[in-house]
Amino acid sequence: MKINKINIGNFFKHHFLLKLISLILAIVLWFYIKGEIGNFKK
Amino acid sequence: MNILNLFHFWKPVLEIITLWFIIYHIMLFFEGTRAIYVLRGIMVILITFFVFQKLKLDVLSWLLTKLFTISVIALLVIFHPEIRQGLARLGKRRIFPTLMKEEQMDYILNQIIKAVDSLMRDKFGALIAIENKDSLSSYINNGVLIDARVSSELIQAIFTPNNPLHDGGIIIQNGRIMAAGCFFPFTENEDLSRIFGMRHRAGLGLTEETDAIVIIVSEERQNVSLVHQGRLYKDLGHQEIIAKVKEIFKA
Repeated sequence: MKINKINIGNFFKHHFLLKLISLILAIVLWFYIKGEIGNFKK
Repeated sequence: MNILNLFHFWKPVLEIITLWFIIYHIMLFFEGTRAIYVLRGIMVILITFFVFQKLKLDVLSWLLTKLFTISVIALLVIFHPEIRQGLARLGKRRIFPTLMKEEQMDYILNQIIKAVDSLMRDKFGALIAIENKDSLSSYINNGVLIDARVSSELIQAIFTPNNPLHDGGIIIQNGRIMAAGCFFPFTENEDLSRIFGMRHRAGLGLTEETDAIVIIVSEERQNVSLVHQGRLYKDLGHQEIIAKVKEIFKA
């Protein structure tokens, strides 16, 4: 069940640290994979 | 700047946002369980490996590469029960959770609070599970099907001693009392104080396997606790219960 009031302003209210860590991980992972793809193409 | 250039600019942003979404939901899914420690351990190793490579620390990179496989296997072996629980939850997760209007949620919570008040006064215990995103259908099937509108009177009647359905818990699904006399798994937490009886252990166990919210009335101590994701919130007042439940559903 979920209460159907979706408030964009609340996006960073909940699980802020988790969202920040996942964003950092996403950026790190993106650069790593991009690097690996670059090496593979060489 | 033509459309193609615009796309090339936004492609990395789109890819990072997609990765962010996936990583966030994986971590959120395991949050509250011990399996999160496995994930965190693997993430730390990966970030460290990435940093060593970028800084061209060849010796440390080599060492980490050799240790990586062993570390991941060790973490998986140590935390395999938690990972099993997490994957079991994945199977129970609804793709499209049912949306509920706030007025309906208010009504249900008010009925639960009224029932809880009365049960505490009469020194009767109660175990009330409210389904969240993870389906509780498997637990409904081990109980007695009721499928009735949530009402304070019905909850009180169910938990009155000597009633055939008073043992076990009730499950509220999609705004209705779907079943009573349902048996929940006991918690595997060995550190739990002995003052907590079977009812609390069952409530904790259910919240370790699913993201359900469980409200427990203790007949011995005449107080109300709320349990979610293996965390027990003791001695809550009416407004605190309502606020906590709404906070969980809005998350």
